[in-house]
Amino acid sequence: MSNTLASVQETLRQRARTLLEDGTITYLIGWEAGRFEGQTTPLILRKAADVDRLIYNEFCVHILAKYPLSDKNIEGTIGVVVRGCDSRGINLALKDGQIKRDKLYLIGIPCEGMKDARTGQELKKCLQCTHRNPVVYDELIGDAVEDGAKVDRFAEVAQLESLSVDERYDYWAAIFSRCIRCKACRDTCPSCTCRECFTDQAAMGWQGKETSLAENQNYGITRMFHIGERCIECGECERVCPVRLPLMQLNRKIIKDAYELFGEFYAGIDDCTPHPLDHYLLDDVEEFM
Amino acid sequence: MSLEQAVEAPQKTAAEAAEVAEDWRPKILAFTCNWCTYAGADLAGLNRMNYPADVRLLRLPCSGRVNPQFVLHAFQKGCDGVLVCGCHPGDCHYSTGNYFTRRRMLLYRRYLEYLGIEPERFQIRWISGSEAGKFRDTVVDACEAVAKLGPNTKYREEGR
Amino acid sequence: MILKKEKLGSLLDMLAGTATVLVPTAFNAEGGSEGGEKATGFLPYQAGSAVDLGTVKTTRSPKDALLPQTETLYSYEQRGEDVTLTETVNNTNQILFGVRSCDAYSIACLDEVFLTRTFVDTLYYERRLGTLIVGLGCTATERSCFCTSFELDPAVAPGVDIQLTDAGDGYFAEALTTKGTEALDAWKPFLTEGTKPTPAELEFTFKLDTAKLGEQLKTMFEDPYWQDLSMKCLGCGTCAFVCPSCYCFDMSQNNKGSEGYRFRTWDSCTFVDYSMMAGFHNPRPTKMKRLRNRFMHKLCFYQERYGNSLCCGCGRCIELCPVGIDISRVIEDVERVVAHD
Repeated sequence: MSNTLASVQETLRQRARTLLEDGTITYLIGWEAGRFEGQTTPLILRKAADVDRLIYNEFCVHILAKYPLSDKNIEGTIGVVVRGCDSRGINLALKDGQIKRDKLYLIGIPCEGMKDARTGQELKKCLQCTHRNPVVYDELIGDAVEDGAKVDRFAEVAQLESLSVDERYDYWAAIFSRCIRCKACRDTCPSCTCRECFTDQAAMGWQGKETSLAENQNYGITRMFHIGERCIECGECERVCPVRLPLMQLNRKIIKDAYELFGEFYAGIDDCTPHPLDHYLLDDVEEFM
Repeated sequence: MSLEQAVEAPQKTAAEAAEVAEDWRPKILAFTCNWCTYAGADLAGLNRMNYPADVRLLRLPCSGRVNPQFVLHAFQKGCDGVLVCGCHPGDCHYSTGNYFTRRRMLLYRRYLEYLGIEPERFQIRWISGSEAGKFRDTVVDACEAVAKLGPNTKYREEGR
Repeated sequence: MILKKEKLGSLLDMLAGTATVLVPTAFNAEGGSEGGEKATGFLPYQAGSAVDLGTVKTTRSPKDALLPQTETLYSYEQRGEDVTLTETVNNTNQILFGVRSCDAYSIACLDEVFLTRTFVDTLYYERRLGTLIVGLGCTATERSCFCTSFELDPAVAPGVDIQLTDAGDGYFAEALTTKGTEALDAWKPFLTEGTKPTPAELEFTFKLDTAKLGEQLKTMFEDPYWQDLSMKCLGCGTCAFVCPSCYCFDMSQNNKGSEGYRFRTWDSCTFVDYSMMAGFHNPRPTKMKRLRNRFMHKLCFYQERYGNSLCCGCGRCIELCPVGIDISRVIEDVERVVAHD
């Protein structure tokens, strides 16, 4: 294995220095170390002199795909470090016309999964990851790794499906009642790119301000269906949730059904294939006759 | 909601069905497309067909106009059942609207079932402007099915 | 007086008969998402509750008990020409059990905001008056704890009615207020004689110099530092919602026909609609301005008005920020940025 994390980090720093110095990129989005051991935080690297702040290790848990979107009118080019999940998020943004490809310079890194610094365990989202190699990049650091989920992504969904409708309702009511509506799941999601989110439109009546079970359900259920089959399965919503709600069980249900109804589909693996709900076939499944 | 309420809330389970008043009738909201189903309903009326008055029709330009959130909102505001009706695939006034509806609703119906709403409460049907009988049958069947289930207690804003 | 640890359960049972007892408890008993990590909060004690006094900081702070996330202010009803208004009255009778220094300090901050400087918030006042606070001295720290940076003593929670200090197999209980003395009388059957132990020496991973922070921040309002910091920020409300001292709220109403109610909910300065005015004018239209307001309010503006910092050093936002924005690092950066200018 030539991809030791240390060597990847070293190459990444060298490349970042070169790219910043020769003006290929205006800044680079990567990670830097946090205060505590294993803690990382996204980094906006502007100066080649600061390149030693840039790190790459097994704790780089944050997805970076959404950051370029907040600076889409930039004059120059934004450098982004992308792994499988980041690159799928970037593809999604490209497909949605959120940003132009020539505004981006993507440094790809095949990823073997990130770990939770506190437990030392590989994150669930990484165990369930299907695309570990970047699917879009300008240059690649390290060799490709084997793709494919290490665990059954749909196991939890299948388990919930085996319950009765009433049991399922109670399960989800318990979960939504704990939501604090901080909206971190929305804000971190690479698929959520609306300029104005329905959840910020209390005056229009789309989403009330009250933190009640009904409003929490409205928020959680509608938000997830808005993303629907466009979900790139990065699992960030679940990772960032401060009250630890298993939100991916909602996305996975939609994805599982979309597979069964419309065929296997991975959002963001390229920037042109239409999503299942973007198009239709004349001979789609018909159960509404 | 205080944390206290948050934790108490799930203890009221869905199984605790509300006491059903004797004269209770289901409240069903039907989203009907202007060009087919609404015309079908009109024809049913012209033909003096009888169907339960439990259904309220909401006319939309196309079944594609049904934002999935409308369905959830209907349940939250107190409907016991929701029908989404449009033209048969191929007959859409706007050529393709209902093809998209079909895909969207295939997913949304499964999604809501996964979230605990009985499939009988949320149905989608294609009813053309000439299918007055099918419209009547759909409404009769839906009302019966929902009446059998009783009032909806799930996702209600009030009455929990 | 010592409360033996094996008596804790029966004490809580007794107290739960007289008031709502809110104790740190895990509220996702069935397990969370990532690695089954638990989330905790101050929940009403019931017989058999999984009381967790060992957790240094609960996920949800005790702020919930005094300033609930949603609180009805009044309800209204119109019948013909008559309009009836019904005020909310809080008949609170609760005991906050096991409040750490950082959280107690935060409650003192909320008191300043809601009860002093000419305006008394009735709903908060009623809740506060009906709340007995039992503090608990820390015997351990978490990596993100930095309360000593704000001159807090982790062994003594400021402003609490009864202070508990860990004494090995029990807790040494002492009343610090008249209310506390009266309450402690009822605890007698569960207490045994004992002397106050010396609080454990605690190790903190870091301590910051915050003496000149307010002054320094004032000079860097227009600094480009905020722009780079806010690029990382997602604009979610996690930091404000887990913070024990954030008190911004937003008022709204739910109407139904001719009746309805007006309520307030927590707001977060990082939300896009924070400080949005009628007519959709927003004095803080960018994420940079909103995030800057967060740190300025916490570390500078509050101090100007009330004399102390609004950050208590609990470190909840450090642990839970989705992108690792770290207020302690911001404080360090202030020093650096100001020195650089």
